[in-house]
This record gives sequence, structure tokens and C-alpha cells, in this order.
Amino acid sequence: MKQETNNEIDLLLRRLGRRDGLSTPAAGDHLDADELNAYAENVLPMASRARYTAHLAECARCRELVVQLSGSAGVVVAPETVKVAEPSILKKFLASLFSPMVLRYAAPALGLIVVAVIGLVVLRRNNSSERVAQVQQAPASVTPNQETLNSYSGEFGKQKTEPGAISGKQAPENAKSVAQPVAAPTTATTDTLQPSSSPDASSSKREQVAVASEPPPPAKEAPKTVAVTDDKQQEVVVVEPPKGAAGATPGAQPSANRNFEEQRRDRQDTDLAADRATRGNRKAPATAAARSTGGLAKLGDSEVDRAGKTESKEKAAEAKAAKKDDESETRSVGGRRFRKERGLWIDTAYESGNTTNLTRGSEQYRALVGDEPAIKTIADALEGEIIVVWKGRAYRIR
Amino acid sequence: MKPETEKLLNEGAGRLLARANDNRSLARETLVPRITAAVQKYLLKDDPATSHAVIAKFIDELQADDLCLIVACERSDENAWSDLVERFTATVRSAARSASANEDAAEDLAQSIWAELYGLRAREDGRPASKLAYYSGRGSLAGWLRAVVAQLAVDTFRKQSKLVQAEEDTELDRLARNAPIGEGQAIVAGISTPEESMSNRFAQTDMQQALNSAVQELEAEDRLLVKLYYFDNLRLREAGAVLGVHEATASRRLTRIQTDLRKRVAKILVDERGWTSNETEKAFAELAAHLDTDLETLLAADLRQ
Repeated sequence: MKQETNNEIDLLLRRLGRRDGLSTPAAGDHLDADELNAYAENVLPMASRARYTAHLAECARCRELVVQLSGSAGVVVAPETVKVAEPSILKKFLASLFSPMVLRYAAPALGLIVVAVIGLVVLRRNNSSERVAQVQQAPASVTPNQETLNSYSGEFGKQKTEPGAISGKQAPENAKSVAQPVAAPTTATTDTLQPSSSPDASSSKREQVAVASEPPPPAKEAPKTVAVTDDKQQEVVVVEPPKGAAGATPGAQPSANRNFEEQRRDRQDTDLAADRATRGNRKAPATAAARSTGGLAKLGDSEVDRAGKTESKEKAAEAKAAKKDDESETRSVGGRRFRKERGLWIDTAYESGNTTNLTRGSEQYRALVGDEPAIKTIADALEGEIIVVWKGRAYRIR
Repeated sequence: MKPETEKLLNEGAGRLLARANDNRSLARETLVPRITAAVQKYLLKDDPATSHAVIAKFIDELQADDLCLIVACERSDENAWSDLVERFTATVRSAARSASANEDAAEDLAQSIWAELYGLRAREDGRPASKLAYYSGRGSLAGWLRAVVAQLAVDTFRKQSKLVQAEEDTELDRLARNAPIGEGQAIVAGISTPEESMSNRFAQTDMQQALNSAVQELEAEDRLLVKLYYFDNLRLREAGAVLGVHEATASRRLTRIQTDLRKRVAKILVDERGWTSNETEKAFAELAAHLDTDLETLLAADLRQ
């Protein structure tokens, strides 16, 4: 209806325009050039513009000039005056975030972030699975007091290689016995071990217990069970720190969880040693288990009694595995377990595959240990060539 | 003028000289009369109580460099004249070409413009009548020069065409007298009785007069839009450019004006001509139908020609 009525008026106006268009009404004073130009350029003050508008509505001549000037001057036309609800600042901000200019950079950046996050998640998952594997294969890879443990392992390593450097608090024999890993080959220990008759066993045990109950060393290095085999006496001396006494010792922080963890690690050590023994082509003495059992029986110590039968069996198996592995040497450093084969320390987590070869002191090596100081600890502790598996990669350090 | 206003104008002249890239070494005093004239023309004439802030803003919006150039030219600064000619010869020539039928006419027009600017033509009182005195600095100098060219072209054309126009009017009057009735009207007459035809003519006259009155009652800007669109046959974009609004805004405004005009016409017919509402509605409908026929006939006649 409205459109129709407008059409009627539209037609009437067109007719009126045709009629009036033939005769141009005369106007009095025309606008001068300055006024015409200022009007066409839309730079007049409101009041004067209204005055000139009224004139232009009546004066065809000035209107014609203004039309001509507006067309050639490129008048800046006011933007649409439609009242649109002013968007809030938040909406403006959000709109600016999704503007094409921003999206042009944000979309690829977002893609990169997504890829990075996915990569991180996958990496973390690998790490966690690796940790699980390490716990299963090489226990005590992660302990709360990792640094302390590492330092212990380092000390122990030094003690083993440099017996003379041990402080007077510990007898050389004890140091050796402490330094010996659980699975230390019998041959290696027999080279350095003193006869069991030398310094009395009780003082030795006390010191071992003291060492074990000091800030907890890594489970692997912890002399919880030390097998000392004397070729002559064919005895296995098993010294195990009392689990309850550790908590009573000042400065120690044992806990039930920790004991459980140690037991679990020991079991895993045993499994590992057994597995190695099975795979290895070296024959273990058939009497090792019997000897170790005999040794336990001989000890008759109260600490051993508390260890329980299960643990005794585990220790016996461990000792057995250690004996079987008569040609290789095993050490735990920096939460990693290494076995020495043909002069090469190999991370037990290492199976096969490519290694990244590094030379101590090289730029690449410095960069690596800069990122992973624990590798330096390991490399310092283990002399010679080593293969260490770190964060899923194997490094061969010479 | 109040001392405060004079001080304001003086300070404004100082600011204008300061912001000009090339103030042509003009003194502040030389600019004050020009600025005063502009303020008087565009502000104080409409509102003598214009605030100082508005005046200061007005002065600060003047084209500083263009105004300094023109004032320097007025003061016979040769460098300023050289700059003016060098910078604006192309503008003047272009505007002259647009306003002229051929190249020779354009060249003549351009030369006339420069003569006007130099003030070669003397006033009645004997002083040089340079058009430079009319530039206020409110708009751009290039636009002002185009306006001067367009004005001169229109005036020249009107003078030249006066005689021709008179002859054409005489011819048209003769044709109108000889023509029996317009073709459209003949068609309308063919479908109506003489009484009806006469009635329609009266209705059309009333309606047309009412529309004329309604258009005159419109606001100046709305009236200008109607004139630009219906009388000058501009497109909405062109009409919007004159009014300084967007094409869409002009379109909406025109629709509103049409609705407003219909109401006004109906009111005039009822109040002043004694029509009833029904008669008004019926007249609109019939008139629209007749106008349709009229337009179709006119279009057909145009095609035949």
C-alpha cells in the first residue's frame, strides 16, 4: 500500500518536474564561487549551509553549478547514517580478534600451537611409558632426592675406583663392599675384596647401616643388600639395613612407601639380573644360590631375620644373578643402570638402534649436558665410553 | 566588532600563519581582514552570537597554504603568482574543457579565467576586479577555481544562448497552439466522457497545485533533494553527493518525502479544496492510472522520433 501511494506521488512529482523543468525560476543573488565550492566540498558551517540549501532548492542555476562541482570535486560522502546499535567494547575486541587481518596470522599460529601441543602430549606419553619401562627394568630411576642419590652414586663410584680417597670414617673394606652393586660380578669383587676375617663384621655392618640410613641413596646403590663373596670361605655376606631402624635414624626420611618402592626395585633388579643371566652366555655357578642361602643362614643376624623369607629369596636370586654375570660389571648412576661390556658402559634401557655419538668436551656434548645436567653426572661418574638412553634417545659418549 | 572577537581573529591569523607550510612571509595583519570577512560571511551572518570556540575552530579549519598563496598573489608577489599558475593551470584547463563544447572554447574560457584572476578587468570604480578577493580559504583553492570556471562558463553560455532560446520558445509556443490536444490526453479522452474528462482535468489541476504547495512546505534539504531528483533528473548517488549523504540515505529520505508529500497533498485537498477522503483516494488512483498512460504515450512518442 505504501509503495503504491509512493508510486502515485512519484509519478506526480515526475510530471511536476517535467513542467517546471522547462522554466527555470529566477533567483536573486546567486552563490559566489567560494560559496558554491564550499557547499560542494561540504565544508560549510551548519547554519550557513542551511541558508545555501534553501537557495539551491529554488535556484536551478546554482544547483546546476553545485551538482557539477560535487561531481568533479570528489566530495567526501558522509557514511550511512543508519543507526546501528553500537557494539560493545568487548564485541569490538572480539570482532577485531576475528578480523581477516588477524586471522591471516592467527590461523597458522593456532595450527602450530595445536601441532606443538599434540607433540608435547605424545612426547609426555612416551616419557611416561618410558618411565614405566625404566621402573620395570631399572628401578629407582626417579626418586624424590634424585640429586642426593646421584651424589651418593658418584661418591660410591669414586670410592670404588679410588679406594684411597674414602674418608677415614669408613674402612676401605667397607667402602668396597658398599660400592659394590648388587649385581657386581664376583670376579670383580674378589679382586678387591678383603678377606672377611679382616675388620670385624659388626663394625662393618654398623657403618653400612649408617650409610644406608643417611639421606636415602638411590635404591640401586643403597647397600641394602651387599653380597660379598669370599673365594676361600665361599660365603655370601648379606647385610640389610633394618627397615624400621632407618626411620629412627636422625636425618633419615624413610617411609612405608619408600620401603615398598625399594622392595619393588629389588624384585625388579632380581628379575633383570635373572633375565640377563638367561640371555647371557655366561654360566653361573650352580652353587651360587646355595651359597647365598648358606650365607644368609650363617649370618643369623637380627636384621636378616626381619628381612623376611620373600626378600631373602629375592636377595639370593639377585646374588645368584650377580654371580652369573661374572664377566660384566653393573653400576647405577644418576638413576640409570649401566652394565659394562667390553669396556663400554651400556644403559640397561638401551636395546639396539642408532645412537647419537658425542665426545666429552665437544660443543655438542656441552650443549647436551647444558640441557640435561644429569647426563654429565653420568658421564663423569662412568669413565670411558658409555651409552645412555635419555628421553627416548640413545647417546654414545666417548 | 567586539574587541574580544578582534583579538580572537588576530590570534587565529597567527595560528594560520604558523601552521602554513609556506606563509609567503605574510604579516598577521594582512590576513586578519580576509579571515574576518570569512567569519562574517559564514558564521556571524547566520548567528551573531557565535561562540569564540566555534570561531576559533572555523579559523583553524581554513586552508592555510591556499589562503596565504592567494593573499600573496593579491599583494603582487611574483613568486606566488608563478606558483599559482604552475600549480593550477591544469586544473583551470580541465575545468574549462568540461564546461566548453570544444577545445577552442575551452582555451578561451581558461584565458578569461586567468584574466579574471589577474584583475585585468577593472571595476566600475576603476580598481582592478580580481576574483582572488572572493576566496575565503574555507574550501580548497582547486575547487574554488573550478567553481569560478563553471560560473563563468554558465554566464557566458546564458548570454550567448539568450537569443537562440527566445527563438526556440516562440517556435514551441506556435507548436503548442497548433496541437489539438496532447496524445496522452487524447487517449484519456477516448475512454472518458467529456464530463469525466473535464472532471479529471480539474482534479489534476487541484492535485498538481496541492503537490506544488506541499513541496514548498518541505524542509529546505528535502526540497532540494526533490528538485535534484525530479527536476534535475540526477541519480540518487549524484543527489546524495550534493547533499553530502550516502546514496542509500538519499533513497530512504526520498521514500520518506514521498510518503510525507502524499499526506500533505491529501490534507490540502481536504482542508483547502473541500474534497472528501474517498475522493482524494480515488483521485490519486485515477491520476496514477492516467499518468501511467501518459508516460507510456510519451515514451512511445520518443521512440517514434
